[in-house]
Amino acid sequence: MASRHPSFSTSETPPRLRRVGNELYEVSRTYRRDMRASARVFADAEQAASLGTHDRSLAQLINVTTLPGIAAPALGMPDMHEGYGFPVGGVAATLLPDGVISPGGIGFDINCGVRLLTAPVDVAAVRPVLESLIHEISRGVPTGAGRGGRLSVAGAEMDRVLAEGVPYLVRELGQGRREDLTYIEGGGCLDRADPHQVSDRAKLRGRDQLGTLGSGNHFVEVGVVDNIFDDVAAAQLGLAMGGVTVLIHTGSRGLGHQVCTDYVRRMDDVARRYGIVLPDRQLACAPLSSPEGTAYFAAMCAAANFAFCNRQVITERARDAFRRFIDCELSLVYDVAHNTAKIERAGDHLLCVHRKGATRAFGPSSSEIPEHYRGVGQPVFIPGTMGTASYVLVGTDASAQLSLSSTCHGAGRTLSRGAAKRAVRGHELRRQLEGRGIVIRCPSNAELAEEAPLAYKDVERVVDVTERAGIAKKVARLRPLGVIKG
Amino acid sequence: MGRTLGHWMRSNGTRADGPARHAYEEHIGELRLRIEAATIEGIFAEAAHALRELFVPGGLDAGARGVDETIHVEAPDLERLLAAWLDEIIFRTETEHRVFTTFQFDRLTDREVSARAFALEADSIRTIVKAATLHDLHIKQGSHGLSASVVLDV
Repeated sequence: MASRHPSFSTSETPPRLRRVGNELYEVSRTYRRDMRASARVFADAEQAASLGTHDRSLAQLINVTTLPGIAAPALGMPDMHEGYGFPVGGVAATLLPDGVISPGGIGFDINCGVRLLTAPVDVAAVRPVLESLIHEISRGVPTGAGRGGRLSVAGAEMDRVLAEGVPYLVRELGQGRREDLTYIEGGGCLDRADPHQVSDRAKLRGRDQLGTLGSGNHFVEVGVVDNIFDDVAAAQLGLAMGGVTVLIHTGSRGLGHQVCTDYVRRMDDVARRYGIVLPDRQLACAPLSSPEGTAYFAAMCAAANFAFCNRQVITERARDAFRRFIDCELSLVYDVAHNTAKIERAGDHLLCVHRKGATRAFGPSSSEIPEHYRGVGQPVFIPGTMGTASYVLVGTDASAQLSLSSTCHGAGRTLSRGAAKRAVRGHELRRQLEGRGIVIRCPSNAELAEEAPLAYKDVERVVDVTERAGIAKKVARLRPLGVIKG
Repeated sequence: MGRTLGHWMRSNGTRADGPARHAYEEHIGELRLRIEAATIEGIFAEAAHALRELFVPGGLDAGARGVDETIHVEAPDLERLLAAWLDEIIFRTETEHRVFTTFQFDRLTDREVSARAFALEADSIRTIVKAATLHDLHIKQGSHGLSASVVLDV
């Protein structure tokens, strides 16, 4: 198929997308002379026909294929949308040792991710205290500057958070339980982290931000399991119909933002030295084996540890609220990152897999997932919107070949924030949601409107494409009861 | 890569002050900030004012205490300098809980900006902007002055 693509310049012939698999379409590497690999997008036929017509995500994915050392097609997940440099929902692997690492391929919010907790109670136990419960969690989890239950860390303590991650929080600061560590990607600590590669500015920015949500699409959501697609997997994950859940979506806050800022600048400075020419300056990169690449990877791992710790502190605030109002303990199902670069083995090769708005999704036979989930697959959480639903999936073994063991991370935006605000007024949206029994806490009606359900793709369709493509399997659907929006 | 500040000065002949304005253009995932001003100083100041709007959407508290600060930033070219200037303001706003209201530029070249700035304390800052990106970053000369575009990660 071929059509006019406004996101491509008038001097460029729009790319021809060829179907190469189930819900999988490819732009050949011959499309542009600077491409070093093809670009592949997971989409249904209708989505594929419109790729690139309403945003620049396909053009951005094609730009990603120019990264030196790229070892496989650049991949767009079913929720792909326009970002900067990489599209959101973009995955790219470079061959080590000399393939590049690009901070822009991870993003400013390093290890933005999602964790899911379950409560051992039915929705009926939550309904009578829902308003108070949501209020209590919102009191304990500030969105940014201001009040709340944040944990301040600086100096040697900050360095230990960055180097040791959640195990340090649990062991030394009493933030959580030992068994939590089993159910966090990487055990809550990426061991290549080096706090000395994180600038003082980044540490200062993160000093008061452990336990804070941030803004934009970050949230804490109390929900209920309202559909189960795979009984066996759901049981293994501790999910039952009518059961209560808590989803937490946030990342590394200002610390991670500053790490990315510092290293994009540094890599932009040295690109020429390494003979790297890029179509977009935000793709700035350096060989992972170079001093700049090695330093960034160590800093990124440290920022990722900070993000795991941030979600851990928020978990403890949610646990406090559940103990107070429902007298029950929340259990961690899993915590998964969707903005990272990881060193992963593919056959005889070591790859640096960039995931920007994409979730690692190892299959049931992977030795890198908790023993409890072997035979089922790594849990993956796909937040929808505050007015629709979120999904729990598990990874498949087939995804190793199809998608570098990656899958989508959300519904994917389809409207800009400005367009969303023009399409719906915040107070009307609040009334609609409250009319459906959903308790909302949000700093302002305008910011609520920016995250309105109509600003996003249909999450069900995204998840269905994901499943038909064979890169993850549906397990359960979660319906929101109460949302604290960052 | 854009033209140099020297080019603007030659094109404009003089750096007359004039009205400046900013707007947010459509961008699916982030915020694209477009700025127009008669001078390069106007571009830098207006970009900072746009950030302030994002940090305190409800406006400033009456009676907020102010403080004078100096800001000095260096970069290898003018576009990077604009991004670095915004990143510096983001950093200070987030860590000092102050927003910048006025600027007096002592030096602004292709690679360096020095300014005296007045900042007001703000209790309810929204930490909404993560950084200024280098994506589609440009400063251009138009028939009526200068324009700049920068995508902010929000």
